[in-house]
Amino acid sequence: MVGLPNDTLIAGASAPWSFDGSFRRVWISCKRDIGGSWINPLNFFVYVDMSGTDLSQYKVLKVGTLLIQRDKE
Amino acid sequence: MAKYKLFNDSDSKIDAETRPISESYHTRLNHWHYGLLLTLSAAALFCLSVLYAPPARSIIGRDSLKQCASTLPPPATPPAPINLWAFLAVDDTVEIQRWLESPKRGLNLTRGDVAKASDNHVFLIEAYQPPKAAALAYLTSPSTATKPSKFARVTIHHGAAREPFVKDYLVGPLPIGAHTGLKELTEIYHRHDIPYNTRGIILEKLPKILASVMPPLAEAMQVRLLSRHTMNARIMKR
Repeated sequence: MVGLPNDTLIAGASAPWSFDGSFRRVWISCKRDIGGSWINPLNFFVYVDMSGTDLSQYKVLKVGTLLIQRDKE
Repeated sequence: MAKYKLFNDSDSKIDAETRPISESYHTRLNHWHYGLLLTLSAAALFCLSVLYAPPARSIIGRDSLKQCASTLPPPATPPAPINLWAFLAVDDTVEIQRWLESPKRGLNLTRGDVAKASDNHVFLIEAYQPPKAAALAYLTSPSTATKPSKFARVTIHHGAAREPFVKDYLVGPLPIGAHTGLKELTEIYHRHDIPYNTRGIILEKLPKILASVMPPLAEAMQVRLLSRHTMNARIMKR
């Protein structure tokens, strides 16, 4: 996911990252780097602030997962 | 056992039947081939003569026996020789990029693959669709006189500006020549300043961005992956 040879994840970004251009924040989704990665999501999301032009100022704001309701046995 | 008959022939006969194909066999094969070819071509000629036969005129009267309409779709023909909405070819795009990078344009561009967010770089070069009226005029009577000029829409990230901004431009007429110019695209996007924070993400650059923001999370992600594996193992056991 970060461009290393031992990466096991694929990152995806989804728009929009702003409503008025005052900031630039992106939810990054993770998928397993295997065949059919689109049906192998990790249910792990990272919210990254990419405002401005200085890469060193970019930072993670939140991490999260989706709660999946399973039927009780 | 009773189903099978013993093979009584001598070995020499079997050898004669199973030895490699002799020349005489080849000749026989060739004759057989020619025969097949002749039959096939005769059949093909017959089919063609049937297909190309003129429609039978009725002997009863000209209009009394009509042919059914063909079930085949009519052959497709473009409404005009030039597709006004065609994409730019790779060569055209490269030519436009070179033209933009020329010092004469004064855009101070950095190549996209090495540009940082704080550099001026080209985000997009694509075909610009002609105005509807111009397109309709050309389709109504296609000719070189009515053909609208071809333009490209170019999006540049002006990262090097004191207050960085995004701007869309029109480059044309194409192909690049003495009359080609660069002007602000105001026909369809009327906001003068596009904030730099709304600029598109170049997906190839995402890993580099993540490499700089993810390390503090590395440990947590390892733990999470581990727990997933443990869970899978538990399911397997059950």
